[in-house]
Amino acid sequence: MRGVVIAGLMVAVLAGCRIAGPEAEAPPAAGAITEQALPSPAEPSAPPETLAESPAEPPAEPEPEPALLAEQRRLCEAGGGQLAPRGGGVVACVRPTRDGGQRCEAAAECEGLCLARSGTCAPIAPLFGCQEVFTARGLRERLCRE
Amino acid sequence: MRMLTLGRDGPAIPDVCFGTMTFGRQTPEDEACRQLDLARERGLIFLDTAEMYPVNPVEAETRGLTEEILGRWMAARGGRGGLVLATKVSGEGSAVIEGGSPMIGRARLRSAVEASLTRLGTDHIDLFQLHWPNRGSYHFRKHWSYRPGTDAAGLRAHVEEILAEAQALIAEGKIGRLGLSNETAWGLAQWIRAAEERGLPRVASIQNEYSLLCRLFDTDLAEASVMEDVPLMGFSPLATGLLTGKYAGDVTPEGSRRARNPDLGGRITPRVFEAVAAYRGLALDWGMDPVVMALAWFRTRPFTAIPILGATTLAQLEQQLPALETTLPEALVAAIDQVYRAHPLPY
Repeated sequence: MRGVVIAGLMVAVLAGCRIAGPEAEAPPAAGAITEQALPSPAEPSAPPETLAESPAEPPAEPEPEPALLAEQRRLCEAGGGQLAPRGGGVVACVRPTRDGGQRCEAAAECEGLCLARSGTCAPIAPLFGCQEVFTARGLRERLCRE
Repeated sequence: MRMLTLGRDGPAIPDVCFGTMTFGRQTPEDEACRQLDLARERGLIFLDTAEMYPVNPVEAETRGLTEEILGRWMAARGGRGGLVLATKVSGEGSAVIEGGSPMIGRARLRSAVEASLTRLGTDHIDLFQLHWPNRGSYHFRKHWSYRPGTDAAGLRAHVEEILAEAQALIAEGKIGRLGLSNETAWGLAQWIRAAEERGLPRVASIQNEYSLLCRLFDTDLAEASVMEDVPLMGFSPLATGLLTGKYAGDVTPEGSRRARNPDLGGRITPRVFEAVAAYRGLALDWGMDPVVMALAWFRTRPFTAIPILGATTLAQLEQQLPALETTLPEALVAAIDQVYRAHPLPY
């Protein structure tokens, strides 16, 4: 992707593009709600004046942003992008494309990806995960970027 | 219409949503397209659907058809530009999913997003909702015999798992935000707390039943909605047609939902027709269509309440459209409050 800056709280890994088949699914998360007896009524709470006598905790100071991240944010925003969380503590600089939403039939027609389900240019770049795209030759493929 | 923002930084949406759940069942595709054209022309660009639609009834053979109809309509009209799309993943236990739909987990969330994107023929869903909680809830008349679960730790683990996957899906551009449906006040608070404590995405909406006849949202949920800045998307704002008066006198018109679902999912009760008659009488006293009054009333609530309009026919949609520009007089709102006291929660 052109002009992309990847920054990370952790070491961000850009593994490059690959063409992949459908991803295997993990089994659905377990979890069951079983019929339960209603809990006993709660004990009456303490009178409010008891609580009111306790001194209030001062609000916690927000932790300052790490210098590296702050610098990456500055560079990203200077280029018209925004740092977006990607999960796992990793952030990426994502910026809007100039042709987002325009019709496309091949990758060369877009600044970013040419998304195949809608046949339109992606509104932001880069796009992570697996996407249905049209390639440079206009072939429909599944493109994965991690 | 008033314009709102979906979530804190999302696309602009009108304060009225357009529902599509009958498209492909009670509403044939050509009629659905005419409704969608009219809705878009009138600014109803916020569309709600679900993977399990159409209804009624919900059947495995037709699951996903409503999304496909929406996809074909958008493709035929040159794309989804200007539209805001909301859909839902079915919760546990729905027979329309092969093998019975599993609990919603990370993999199920992702596969449902991918399948909806394909059916809708788009690469982005603005609002992806959990149709009902894994743990069940008191909605759909289950409040008459509600017994809360006790697995708070299990719920919190589930919330973190889903929000983390939603964050990844947002980063991939596949969804804009996550929404809840058929939730409780405590449940909503857990989703918000996890998002704020873990730096995960906040849920952007809660879609529960809400109408002049069904006001379970008015107390604890209303407080949670306001305090946490999570608006209500109210489904069945006309009480599945009861407030139109078409079932008055306990009749069942041919082709209506009641012809397929005789007690309207538990909404036909000994007190319901008296309540309907009172609201209709009040509207007529004010020279107003009861349908318009019922929908415009949403704007008078002390929390953000977005009605999800729905129509089987184009004529039904046309009847509702004046509500988009109607503001109820304060005296009428006060009179509605009096009717509510006289006819509280008929179901």
